[in-house]
Amino acid sequence: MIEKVMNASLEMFDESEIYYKEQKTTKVIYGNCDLKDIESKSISGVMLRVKKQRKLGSASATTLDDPEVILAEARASAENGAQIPYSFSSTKEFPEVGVHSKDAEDYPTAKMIEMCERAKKDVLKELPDISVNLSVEKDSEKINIATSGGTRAEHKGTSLVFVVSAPIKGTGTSIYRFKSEFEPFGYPRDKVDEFITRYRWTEKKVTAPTKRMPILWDPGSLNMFSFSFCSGISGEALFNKTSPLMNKHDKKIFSDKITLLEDPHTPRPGARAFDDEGVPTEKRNLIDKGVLKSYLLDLRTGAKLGARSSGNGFKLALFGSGVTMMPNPWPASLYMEPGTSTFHQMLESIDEGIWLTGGIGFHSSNYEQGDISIQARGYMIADGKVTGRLDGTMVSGNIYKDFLKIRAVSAEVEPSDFGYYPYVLVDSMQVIGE
Amino acid sequence: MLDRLEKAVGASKADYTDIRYEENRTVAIQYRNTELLQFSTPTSKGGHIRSYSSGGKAIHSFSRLEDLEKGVEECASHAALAGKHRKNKLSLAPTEPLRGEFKVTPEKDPRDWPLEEKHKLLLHYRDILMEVPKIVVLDGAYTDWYSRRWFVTNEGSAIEYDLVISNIRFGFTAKEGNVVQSTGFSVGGSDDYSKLLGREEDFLARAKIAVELTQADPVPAGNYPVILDPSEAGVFIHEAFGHLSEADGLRDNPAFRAMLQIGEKIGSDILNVTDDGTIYGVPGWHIVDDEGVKTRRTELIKNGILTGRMHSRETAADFAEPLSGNMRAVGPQHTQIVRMSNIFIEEGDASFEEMINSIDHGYYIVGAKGGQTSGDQFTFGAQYGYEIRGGKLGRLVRDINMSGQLFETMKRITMVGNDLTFEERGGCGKGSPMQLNTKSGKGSPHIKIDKVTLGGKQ
Repeated sequence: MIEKVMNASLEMFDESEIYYKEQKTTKVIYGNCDLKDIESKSISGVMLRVKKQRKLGSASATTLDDPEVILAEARASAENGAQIPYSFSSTKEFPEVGVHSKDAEDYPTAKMIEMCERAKKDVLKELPDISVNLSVEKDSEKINIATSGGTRAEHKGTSLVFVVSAPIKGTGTSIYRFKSEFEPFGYPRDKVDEFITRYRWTEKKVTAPTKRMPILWDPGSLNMFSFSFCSGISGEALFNKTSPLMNKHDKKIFSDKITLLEDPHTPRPGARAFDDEGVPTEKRNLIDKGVLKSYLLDLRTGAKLGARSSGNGFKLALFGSGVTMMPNPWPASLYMEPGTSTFHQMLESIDEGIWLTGGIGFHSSNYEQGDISIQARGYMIADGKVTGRLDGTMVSGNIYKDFLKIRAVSAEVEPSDFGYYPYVLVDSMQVIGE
Repeated sequence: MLDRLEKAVGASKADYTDIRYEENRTVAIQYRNTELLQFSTPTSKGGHIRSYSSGGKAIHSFSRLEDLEKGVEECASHAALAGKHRKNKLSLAPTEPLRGEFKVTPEKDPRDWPLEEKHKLLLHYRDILMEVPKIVVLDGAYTDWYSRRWFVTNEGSAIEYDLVISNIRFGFTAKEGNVVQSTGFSVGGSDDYSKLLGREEDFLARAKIAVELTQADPVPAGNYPVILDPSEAGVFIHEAFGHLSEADGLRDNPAFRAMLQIGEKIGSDILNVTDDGTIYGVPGWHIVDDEGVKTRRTELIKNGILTGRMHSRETAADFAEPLSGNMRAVGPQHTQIVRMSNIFIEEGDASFEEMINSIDHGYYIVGAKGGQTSGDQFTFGAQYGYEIRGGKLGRLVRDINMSGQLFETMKRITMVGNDLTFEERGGCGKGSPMQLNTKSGKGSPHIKIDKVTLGGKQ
């Protein structure tokens, strides 16, 4: 069907690009220690982008079953469209990225229930009074991109994700741990144990004093660092000259302990051989020992800046994703290089500080400029030990100032929902509490 | 369509099954400065099935209508499997089966206006706003969305209904030296196209604030008394309290559920909060929800006491509380979840001047800039603010993010203004993955809170 629509499109337009995505998921969800529901999806979506007399047009639909409708919509859009200074991808060769597992695709629903039941039993044995929530989700997706320039790219990926969480007693705030792989894994006992340990630390609540103090960033909280940094290296901010990183290429912007890669080819969830415009993704350093080395460009912002796309045109944003979105600069898979300290050494080195596991309100601060102003989630640390969970405590600062002085980076690397990170101990940030 | 869906739902082996099918069309015109980023009219179709068997539940989304029957079968089979493992059996509160058409018929219907006119209107505003000096990025977007929906149950409901909304939003980014500041303003948020017309002054005023903010100081971090404008107070009541008033989120947190019993005193005596989907002209107006229940007014807080909450049929049965008609879905790939229609703080009797005069040192916080909650903790931003010194408004301040604990904060509301205003732009994010519901409204008069924490520069 893709070829049929492409052939029809070529008769109407100078250039064409078809993005087609199919997704199948099954998810078992437990809420408050009981099976809440079993959710499944079998959905698809398509976007057609065309160029006629240098003008861009686009159309989208759920399937390719009505080619006449989507082609007519694209024609109307192109008649009103803007002139664009770029062509769709013509790449024919892509790196090998194997993130598809037939076993994950066929993972039985009964085994997903079994994994949840076992985790429930183990958690309740240690923490009998808590309202544990669990889920196991299998996901398989297929993305096809075809262009009039000859690109025929196909991505097939799977994932299996296990999550254990529970609200802290008397609050609505939850503690959670998760495991995500592209192929099936056994019962994640380590994640369940980590959850139990972290939950036990929540019994006592502590409001931090108002002062500057060391902040131990958990891998799960460093997504805030990366969202902020990626706004700064986005081709959009560079073209608009609103980036705080203008003219900073090859300049030191963070401590030399920070090295951050765009690492899209290591086989794990998030890996991609090409972006949502059919441009090959590239493994490269974004930050090398604190020095800014690279930017995120899609076809559009690359052309505006007189550069080529870096393979970072994705239908993703801080809020939202989906087939109907236009691609914009976004990383495929971030990876921060580990250091040499262990997490426990870093924790024990803190006389008075915060272990930041997350935060709320990130997006309403001026994060595009590097500002962080959040209500902190995590733990208070005194004399190298966790003394309780944070309550009524804000952390504020700016990554381009505060991440210049890093005390240590851990050897352990863990996944977050926006990349893979070690623990990072920032020398000090402003804390507002009592 | 209804015949086909009723035939499919009749074949379900589950105790209860419903099917929702949708056809959606969006008009999206988007500019950044003079560059046209998007001019498109995307369409989507698809369906969603929910089944309950032996107290277990399953849901299924599909894109192709020919997959309907297979989906009904899979959903029933998953519900039966869930029923085998579910300990506390799920049930649905009874509702009279609903049949018929529930169409919207606005006087100035956005669907009737040619695409070219919508484009011209956006360009008209853009050209005026491009003249504001020091605005380095001007984002402008026209959006309208039309959803035709069909919903059937094996209890006998069979309805056809639709949803329409249109809005224009501009975002302004100003730069002076290394200081970059942003504000934004939206108009519309309903099915009345006339609300999009003649709004030049509103957009210009907010654009000029972005420019002035580049000269303003960041707000100093600390704890202060504040006055929230209706936009910010609407976000406060929506984010901090409203989400806790949605019974689906509360159900799986027994400790929190115990704290939020009907009759509990949770706010100051002057605080009254309502959710009302029947108010025409504001974003959350609708006739019937996505579970076949008619929308209605639900009193949530009266004189500081919790008096009601928002429900699905499932949570209403669980809590043994009345139905509220709040089950909404943002698209066929998503299930219905409990969502606010139009939540607002009821009007009080204080004037704005009285409120400002009552503060010796604090801040007047203006313009919602998003918010986030985690249980009873909230944090939300503001576009800008003014210092209050000795009962008078003073210098402009920027980079405002404020946070607190809900129940403490609701008890610290000591003045409620006499100027209830609804935000024109709808919007509510909920669920995983995040589902943005543009047909969710919020409103408030000005309110005074005796103490909140502002994050900023020390």
